[in-house]
Amino acid sequence: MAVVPVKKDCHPQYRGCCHLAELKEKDGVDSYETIISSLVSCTSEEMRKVKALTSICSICSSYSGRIHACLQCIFFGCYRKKHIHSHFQGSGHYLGVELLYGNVFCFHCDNYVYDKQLMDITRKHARNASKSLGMRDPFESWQPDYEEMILLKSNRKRLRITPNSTIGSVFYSGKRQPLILHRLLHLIWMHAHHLAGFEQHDAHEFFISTLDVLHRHFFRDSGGSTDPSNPHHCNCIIDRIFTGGLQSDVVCLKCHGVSTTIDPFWDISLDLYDGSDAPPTTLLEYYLFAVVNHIGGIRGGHYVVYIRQHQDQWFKCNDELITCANISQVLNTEGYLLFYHKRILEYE
Amino acid sequence: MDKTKEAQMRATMNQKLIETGEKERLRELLRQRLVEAGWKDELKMHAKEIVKEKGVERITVDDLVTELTPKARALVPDSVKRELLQRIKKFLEEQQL
Ligand SMILES: [Zn+2]
Ligand SMILES: [Zn+2]
Ligand SMILES: [Zn+2]
Ligand SMILES: [Zn+2]
Repeated sequence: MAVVPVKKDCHPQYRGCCHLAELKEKDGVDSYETIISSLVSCTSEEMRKVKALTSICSICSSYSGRIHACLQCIFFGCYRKKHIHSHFQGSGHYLGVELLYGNVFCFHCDNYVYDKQLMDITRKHARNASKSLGMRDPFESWQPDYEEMILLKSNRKRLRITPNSTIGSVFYSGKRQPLILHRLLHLIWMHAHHLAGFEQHDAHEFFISTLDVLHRHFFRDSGGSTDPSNPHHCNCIIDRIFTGGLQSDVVCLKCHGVSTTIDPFWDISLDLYDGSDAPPTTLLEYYLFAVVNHIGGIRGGHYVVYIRQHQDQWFKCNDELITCANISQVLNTEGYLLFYHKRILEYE
Repeated sequence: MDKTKEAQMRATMNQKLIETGEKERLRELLRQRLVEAGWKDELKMHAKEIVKEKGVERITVDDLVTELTPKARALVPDSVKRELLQRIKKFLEEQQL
């Protein structure tokens, strides 16, 4: 007779897997830690020998096909042929540890579970395992060596950063980790409600909103006397850096008098250069330092940014993944937003 | 080589790779190469599209694995496969398998 498994759903309001939470409450995390240290991240050849001989499906003897160890008894089953599932069906157990990365699978939820406590255990042992093999720490954060320290200290930009400016102090702290500006994002969400949430938004619109939020912030601080919604004649740091003046001269056909107006602008939309005209000559030189690219369609997609640092080193920032890139990769992208520094040249 | 012999050979290889820790090294190398080649980015994008299409509440791991696996395999650059094959061959020679 087959045991008919009763699938139990978590309460709809419950975040995560209530079954794992319950088991942890009852039995703690020791059995999980034992599985991780002896079957996922070993620290000696003896242990790895045991791991190689044990991590085999009890039913089909396969060693590939995502072997899971039952967290509630000693059983190994593959996921591919659903042998771990048949164990759960027969035994009433429901939690399995996948032996490649240590992820926990819940049979009731029919899904893998993110559990901070267990993930910390996995990381700790993965770290130990890498160390024992002489490999680099897979989660290491970068510590500057002596020369890099000098470089950081003598960076002129660094000296201008005040001690309590959070972005700056984190940026120059020497940690080589992706920097998440969640406070800035929150600030923007608070001031531009239409940008809050998980809807897709346009990078350009976001950029303009960001400048506006920062302008309003600094405007207040610098004790501006005029209306903050009027961008003319604002002297805040944001406007000094990002606002340009577009001069348009209208010549009267009758009297040939010229009336000049200057409108503020924050960006220039470029025509696609078709190669017919010579590129404009200018007395100024601009230095490209960031390119925002959009991948995907009109309804949704993903932004990836190329950033230039240390003269000519480009980095590709794709969410938390930051990799080296070269100039030809950058030039071969479509380019949605381009950011330039102005370099002031002497007049000829 | 007949089927059972080949299977035995594979099992021995797998054991040696795990015992010596070479499997971990190869995995780290592969991970690095795939990140460098943009494979991870591309697959992540594709995964996001699938999740969006099916709806985050309805999609299961199995759906995702079924849809992603063929693409994931096809997208591994030949140069990466070659490098890994070289490393494995060298390892087998050293182990005299
Ligand atoms: Zn569950
Ligand atoms: Zn069990
Ligand atoms: Zn099996
Ligand atoms: Zn301003």
